[in-house]
Parts: sequence; C-alpha cells; structure tokens
Amino acid sequence: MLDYLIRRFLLAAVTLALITFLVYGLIRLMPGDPLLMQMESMGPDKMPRAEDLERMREVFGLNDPWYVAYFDWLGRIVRGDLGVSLSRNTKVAAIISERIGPTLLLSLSSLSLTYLLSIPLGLYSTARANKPDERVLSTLLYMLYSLPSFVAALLLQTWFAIELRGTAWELPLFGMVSDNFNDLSKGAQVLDLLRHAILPITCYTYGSLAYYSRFVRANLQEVVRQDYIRTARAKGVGPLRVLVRHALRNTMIPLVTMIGLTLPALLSGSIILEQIFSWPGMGKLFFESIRERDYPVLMGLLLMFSTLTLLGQLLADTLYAWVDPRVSYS
Amino acid sequence: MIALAYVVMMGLVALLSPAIAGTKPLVCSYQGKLYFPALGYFNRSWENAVFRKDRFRNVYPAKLREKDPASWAIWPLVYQDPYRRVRDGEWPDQPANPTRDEGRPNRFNLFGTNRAGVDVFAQMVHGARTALLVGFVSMGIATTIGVIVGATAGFFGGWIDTALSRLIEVVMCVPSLVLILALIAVLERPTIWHLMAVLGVTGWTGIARLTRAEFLRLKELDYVVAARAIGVGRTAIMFRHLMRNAMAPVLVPVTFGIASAILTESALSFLGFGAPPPNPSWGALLNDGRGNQQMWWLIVFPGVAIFLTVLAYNLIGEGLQESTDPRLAGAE
Repeated sequence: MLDYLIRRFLLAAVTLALITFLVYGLIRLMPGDPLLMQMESMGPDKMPRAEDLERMREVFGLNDPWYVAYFDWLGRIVRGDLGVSLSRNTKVAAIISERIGPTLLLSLSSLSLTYLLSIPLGLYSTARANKPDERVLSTLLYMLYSLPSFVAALLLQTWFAIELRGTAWELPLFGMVSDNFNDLSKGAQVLDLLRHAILPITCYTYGSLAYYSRFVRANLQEVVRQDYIRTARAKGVGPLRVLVRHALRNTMIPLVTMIGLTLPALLSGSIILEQIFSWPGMGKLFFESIRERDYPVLMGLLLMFSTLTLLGQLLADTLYAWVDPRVSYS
Repeated sequence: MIALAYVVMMGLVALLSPAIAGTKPLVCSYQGKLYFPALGYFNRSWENAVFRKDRFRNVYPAKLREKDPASWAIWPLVYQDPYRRVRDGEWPDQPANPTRDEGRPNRFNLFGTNRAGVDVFAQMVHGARTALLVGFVSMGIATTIGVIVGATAGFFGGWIDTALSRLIEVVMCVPSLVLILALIAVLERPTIWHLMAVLGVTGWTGIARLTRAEFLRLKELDYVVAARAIGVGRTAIMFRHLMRNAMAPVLVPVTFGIASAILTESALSFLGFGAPPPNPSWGALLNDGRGNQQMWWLIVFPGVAIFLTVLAYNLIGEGLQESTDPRLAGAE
C-alpha cells in the first residue's frame, strides 16, 4: 500500500509540473499587458511614465521569457510563496483564502443536500420500479439532469424578478449580502446570508442531485439482481429491509469513492453561476483574473484546482480499497 | 424516438434557416436572371455580387421593385433578420420592430425582439445553425484526436501508453472551462471556427480513455492473434480490424460530447467569450436578456432551446449506451 501511495504521489508531482508548465506558457501568451490593462481602466491621466512601467515590469518579472519566469514562479512555490497579485497588490494566498469561504458555503451545503436527498430518492425509485409514480420521478430527474445550471439560474432569476417581486417569496437575486449588512444584528446577518444563498444553492444542487439519484438507482438495480439478495428474500426478509440493509451497503461503495472526485469541485466553485449571481467566490475570482491578465492569481488558482483533482483521484482510489476489502493495491 | 425526431428537426431548421426567417429572397429573378441571395446567410461571399454593386444594402423588397419592376422573388416564411432591425415599410403591412424593452412577443416578432430591435425568432433559427455546427465540428475534431491517441496508447502499450496516458491525465486535470477560457483569451479575435477548434482540442480525453480501454480488451482476442499469424501488418490490424469493433462504444461519449459542446458554446457566448456579436447564438441572446429581468422572452426561448437540445442528445447517448453496454443487457 505504501509503495503504491509513493508511486502515485511521484506520478502526480510529474503531472502537476507538466500542467503548470503548459498553462503558464498559455497564460503568458494571452494578448494584453496586465499592467496596462489595469491602468487603462483607471483613466488616461493615471498612465504611468514609460520608465516607471519598465521598472514595474522588471520587478514583476514580465520582461523575462515565459519559461524563465515559470521556473522563478516554481522556485517560489516550492518555498510556499504564491506571489503577489498584479492587479490587486495583495498576496495571492490572501485573495484566495478570502474567496474560499463563499464558495465553500455554496458547495458544502449543496453537497450535503445532494447526499441527504439522493439516497432516499434512489431507494424510493428502486423500491417502486416501473410503477407510474417512479416513472414520473425518473423522468423529472432526467430532465433536471439535462437542464444546464446557468439556464436554470437565469430562468429562476427572471421568474423571481417578474412574478415574485413584492410577494412573501421575494429573494435577493445578486450578491452575497445586502448593502446594509454591517448594520444588522448577528441573527439578521445569518438570515440575510441564507436568503442570498437560496437561489445559488438551488442551482448548484439540482443537477448533481439528479445525477446522484440516478446513479444510486442504477447501482441498486444492479445489486438487486444478485444472488445474495434473492437469498435474503427467500429467507423472508422484508422488501424494505432487503433494500436498506442488504442492497444499499454495496451501493455505497461507488458513492463513497465519488466523494473523492467531488473534491476539486468543492473549492473551484462554478465560474458561470458565481458570475450570474455576483457571488464573490473562486469561480468569479478566476473569471476576473482572466480579464485582468493577473498571472499570479491565475496560476495560484490553477495549481490549487489541479492539485485537488489529483488528490481527489488518489483519495477515490484509496477509499475504494478501504470500503471494498476485495480491492487491494499491494 | 422523440429525441431522434427532435434532432432531425433541429438539423432541418439549421439547414433551412434562411428559408424560415430572413430578409433575403430565396430565389429571385432580377434583370432577367435567377439569383439565390439567401445563400448569403451561410457565407457572406455566396450572396451574388450584383446586389452589392446595385446598392441593395440588404433591403431587398423595395430595391427589387425600384430597380427592376419585372422582377419576382420567393421570400422566407418570416420576414425578419437575425443581424439587423426590420424597419417600417420594408415589408407590406409590417411595422418596424420595437426596440428596448417594448419588444414582447407579437404577431410579427414571434419570440419578441432584443433591445436593439433585432428579432429573437430569427436569431434563434439562425442560432440553431451555430449550435449544431459547433456541436458536430468540435466533436469531430475531438473524436479524431481521441481515437488516434487512445488507439495508439492501447495498441502499442509500453512507454507509448505511459506517455499518452500521462498526456490524457494532464488535459483532464485542468478544469475544462478554465482551459477553454485561457485558450480563447490567447486568440485576439476569436471566430466561431476558433471556438470549435478550442472545444475540440479540450474535449477528447473521455473518448481517448474509452478507445484505449477498448483496444486493450480487443487486441487480446483470438481474431487479432489470427490476423497477426497470417502476417497482417500492425497498422492494418489497428485500423482495419480493431477500429471497427472499437467504434460502437465510442459513439456514446461522442453523443454526450455533442450535447456538452453545444452547452459550452452557449455558456461561453453568455460570458461574452464566444464568437463576436453578429454571429447569432443562443448564449448571446441569454447574455442580452441578463441585464433586464423584465425581458423574459430573451431568457425563456433560448433557455428552453438549449435545454431541449441537450436533453435530446443525452437521451440518444443513453439509448446508445444501453444498446452497447453488455452489463445493461437483460436489465428490466
């Protein structure tokens, strides 16, 4: 097992180095100068003098060819320094940690909702397989699964803006907190945050909920056909008990390993949903950094996403061996 | 079946888009000759040069009557243009398109108009062309790359397999939207073709993995050993014998890929990273409607179109999966 882990870690390190090298080159190739882009947005009178600009480029390492700059960057990463943002003048680590909270709020609540709801839904649709109510439920879930989240987000926003404005169901459509957030009491602050989070969480959740329920159902249906289930039935175990005690356990194996694969999505957020709801999370940060050509922030985010993806795959494989004793890597 | 019918219908709409909505005649006789100006919607240069020379300026009905009273023309079903606003008196008894947020759906603008007064129905019909083109071309590129990479890795094995598998992993590890956005930002003025290429070069990993697995499985089979024994060359085995058998399961991720390419294109257009504005795109319509919640028709119609298209391709993919996956055979 240890051998296996070491080998995986080494491979992951190589992959990571390759990814960052390629993407660094790609990012540096993007047209547009990060310093100029920022100055232009401030207005023509704020343009720095040519020699100041030159000095800044020197300091930020923008004059080096990208492969030289990459090894500079890598050297600092190894020492645990993500660098300083070009457009915000703050440490990249500080910017990212500021944005993690909002994204986690959405992704964690969505993940727990998904797991809490998809298992009962999957059980229900297996228990009532091919009955009319199951057909309706499955069709509905399939449609939700095919409904793109950004389309759903826009439709919801429109619906709330036109039909529900001024009713008791009115919800804020943009942002994470109201303008008067700082004046509110503690309890009201939590409530305000929750009200802002309802629509984004809904859009985050329904797709994965539909996917997981279908996944649970498909797995259950495969397990239910196995001999040991027939044995249990023959012994006179009730239908509900067969499903929950005997079948569900084996269904949990792929479900547990999927936790590993959701790891990157937990922190990366959704670029498009955060953009639609003006939610100050990681996805929006990435989008802004691409617009501003903020190389250090982009690289920091990318390093994080890829590390998490690789870790997630490793975690999935390890969990797999852990929950299923038949699997071993040694 | 319904999904298949929907996809065929979408294809027809895309193919016949200039005949469904447009302001250029399908066929017209002008100064004694026959022309097909509507082809200009497919490609700007296919619109006959004589109309540019005679300063038609895209207003065909009035100019045809004025320059050649003996001319006749067959018009599209709906006189609306996906690129510009139809003005007053252009077409008998049809008022100018309303602008700003007054363009709710009406008799002349079935799906309403956007803020600039461009008809939404016409944009949707011509946008179907963009969506399908993006779906098929980008998946064509992705399938080519994926099949070649996967087949090579699976067939030769050894260090080639290790290297190619690493490559697949590298591309898979970068979140796809991140990679796509970065690639598009590199291009100074992306066109719809660039977009397809980018979607193609980022979307092949799933296909490559599946092809590799299929090849690994198939190359151990008896018929391959038999072929090798009678002296068939490696390339011939790979392309003639193995490829054919590996193709059926590969169709599944390709179908799902078409759905996701259409989805990604509209998402990118929505974010403002898609093809430049004059290209009609469902995502661009959504982006138009984003600023003003009162203009629900800019969200609802393209949103439903994207949803139905994705749904249809997913259903077809699912059907293919059921028919090719032996584990699912005999279920239910």
